[in-house]
Amino acid sequence: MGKIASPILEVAMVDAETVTAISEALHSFGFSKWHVFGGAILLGIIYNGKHILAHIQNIMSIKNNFLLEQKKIDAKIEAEREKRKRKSLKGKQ
Amino acid sequence: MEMVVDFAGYVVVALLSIFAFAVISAYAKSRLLSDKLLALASKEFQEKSISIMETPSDLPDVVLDHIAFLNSQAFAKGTPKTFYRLLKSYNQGAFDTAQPKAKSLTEAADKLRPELRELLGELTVMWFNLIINRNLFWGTLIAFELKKLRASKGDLTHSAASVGSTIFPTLEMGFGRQVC
Repeated sequence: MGKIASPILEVAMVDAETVTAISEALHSFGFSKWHVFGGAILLGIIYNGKHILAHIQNIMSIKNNFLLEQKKIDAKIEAEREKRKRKSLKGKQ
Repeated sequence: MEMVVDFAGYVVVALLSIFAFAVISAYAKSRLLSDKLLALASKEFQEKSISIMETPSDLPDVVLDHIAFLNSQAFAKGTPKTFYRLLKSYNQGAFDTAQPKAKSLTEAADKLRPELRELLGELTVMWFNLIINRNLFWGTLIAFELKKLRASKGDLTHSAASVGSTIFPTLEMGFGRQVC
């Protein structure tokens, strides 16, 4: 709570004139409040980039491992189906 | 007055920015945690698949198809979302449990040796577990629906195969592919 509340209080206590000055400066460069918001999201993604990349790598590796094992199980199922097919053909003959 | 409105606007945007930053950080970290759970669920599911396939000649065709289907859909795109919708419909009683395909799997499962029947139930539960951990959003919703299912059916190990057999034929149609 403290970690989140203190920057909020800091923002709230900033002198209104300073804020207007910053706002005017940003406007003069063509930036709006929503550009600041977008910047925060971008910063969040960049700051957590290491975690996001690790997650993508994890998913890829889990999926690849799963698919390797899945092929073995599929091969077993296929072999059993073939065996049954041959058996039923033999039965008919 | 204009200055106050401008100031309030900046405060709101600053709050939203801090919130967005916190949400992104929390999401990134929770995904790393759920990756570990997904790896575990995936490993458990495959261990069960290997155990049940040790005696393939004891498994009827319909059970083999069921195992092949579970394997093929575990990491298919869109499975968590479709599975959630079907599970929700099932909980609302919108499924016909007497449909031929559902009936044939339930009957085949009932005729299996008790240990194989138990393994088949566990395999289906492991599949549910794997799907829950694949996507945080749909996973949370599926977990909620499974809780409801557990409340009405009791231990899912005994009823998972029959629940699955009712839902999965529609799941196959949902993906536009027929395994059997």
